[in-house]
Amino acid sequence: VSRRPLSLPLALPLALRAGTAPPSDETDAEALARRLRETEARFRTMADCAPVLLWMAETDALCTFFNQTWLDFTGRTLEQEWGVGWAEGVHFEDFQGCVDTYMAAFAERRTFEMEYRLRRADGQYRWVLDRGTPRYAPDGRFAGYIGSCVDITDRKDLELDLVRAVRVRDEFLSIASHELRTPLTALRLQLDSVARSIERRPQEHLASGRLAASTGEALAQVQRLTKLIESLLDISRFAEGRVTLVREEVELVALVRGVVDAMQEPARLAGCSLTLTAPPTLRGRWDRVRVEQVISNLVGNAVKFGTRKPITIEIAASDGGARVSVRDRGMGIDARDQQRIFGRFERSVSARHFGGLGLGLWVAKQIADAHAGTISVDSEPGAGATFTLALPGDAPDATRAEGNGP
Amino acid sequence: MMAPCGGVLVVEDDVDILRAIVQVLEDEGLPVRAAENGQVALAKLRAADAARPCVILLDLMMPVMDGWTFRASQLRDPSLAHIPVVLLTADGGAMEQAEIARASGALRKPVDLGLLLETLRPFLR
Repeated sequence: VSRRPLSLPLALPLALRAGTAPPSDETDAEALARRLRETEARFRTMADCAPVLLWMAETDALCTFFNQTWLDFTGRTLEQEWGVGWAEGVHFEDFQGCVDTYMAAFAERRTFEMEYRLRRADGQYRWVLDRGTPRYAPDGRFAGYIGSCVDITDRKDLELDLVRAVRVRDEFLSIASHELRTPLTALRLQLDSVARSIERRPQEHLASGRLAASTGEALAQVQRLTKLIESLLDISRFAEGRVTLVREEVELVALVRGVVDAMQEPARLAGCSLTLTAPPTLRGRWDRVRVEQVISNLVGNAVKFGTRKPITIEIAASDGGARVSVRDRGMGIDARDQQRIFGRFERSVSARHFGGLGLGLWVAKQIADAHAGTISVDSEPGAGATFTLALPGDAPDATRAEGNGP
Repeated sequence: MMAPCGGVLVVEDDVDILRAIVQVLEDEGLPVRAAENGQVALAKLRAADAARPCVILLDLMMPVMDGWTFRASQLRDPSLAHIPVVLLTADGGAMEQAEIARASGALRKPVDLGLLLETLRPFLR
């Protein structure tokens, strides 16, 4: 590559930026001073145009330079930031760590990297990543530090979302494992007991009918496990939008009555009564199995959280479709939890006190969405909750169930 | 003088597990009483005519009053504090939990019947 003198259009702006053309009669000292000024001016232009926050410190760790980007960011003057003034903008929780890291690196002339919150001109604290490097004079003397900061708040927010998502997932896995263990425990004990009993008194056992009773109970546990595993599979089916509705002519009143009848015994054990109010019949084209799943979940929740008070289920025709409301008079749900509970793995109460996978309402919402319907809650803490499933009579399927969970 | 103890008090909220445990212990000829949460268990223990159980089999995660709260109340009550407790837990770290709860033993769900009986037997003599 041949060396060519700079062409005029390129050389001109450089000369303009560096100041006026050199007078021909200047001394060597004047020329040196001029060149220093030019270098300084060029550095400042570069520094002030940089999209990052720049700072420089002297050998005593006091800062003597901040670029315009920094000053614009903090909304403060160079005089305010001078020395250790900049540290006033550091969030008080990060202040000690920030100063410690800075001073320790300084003492050992190490490069350092740290994250802290810095107050922006609008008063908002932003996370910045600050990288500092020692600088040296041409003769090798330590001359202080130079550093740059970038705003990493958006990245931090994403990280927090991720941490939360992972935490929610881990919590779910531990709940799922607990839920799976419960029926397994009963199952195992029942089978052990059958085996032990047969071993001891084979004839008596077979004759007494105990075998039939025990296997019946064991089968009930197997069914409970199967249901749990089905709902675990539902998570991925719905999350990937792989659920397609099987629509058929459904008589809703009979369907809901079936669910209510099946729940009478658990409700009685929980001290709640179930009352159904409905027109004689109400027909529509829905997915029978999925709608049954939603109703069963809503009634199950009402029994679980109904604190021994009456539960009413109401079916009504509405806009060519149907509405099913399940009302309990139990503990109710806080306003701030009312949207959250439809999220995946969410629950308004601690899993330590109430079992369940925390999937029921999420699945219910996916099913309502797939039917182009809605599910909603109306509740006051302490006064109970009413969940309402609204289904259009016959609507095109929603193409994909929308998830609002993590 | 302390009255002699008798049988097992099972504190467990899951009806199926509770029924299964009561069944297998009764099959072994042991007197069993059941409580579906800590509050019910305390009430049964404090009832005037209550026979003192030799051991309490205690679930930890329960509604109304969980196993931790029950254990704390039990330890604060001088008439109940000495009754040994065996934890029945679905969580990992059953032994650590037993230590924290000052329990005499711990069983992890799903529990095997042989191990259940072996763990309870020393308290029943």
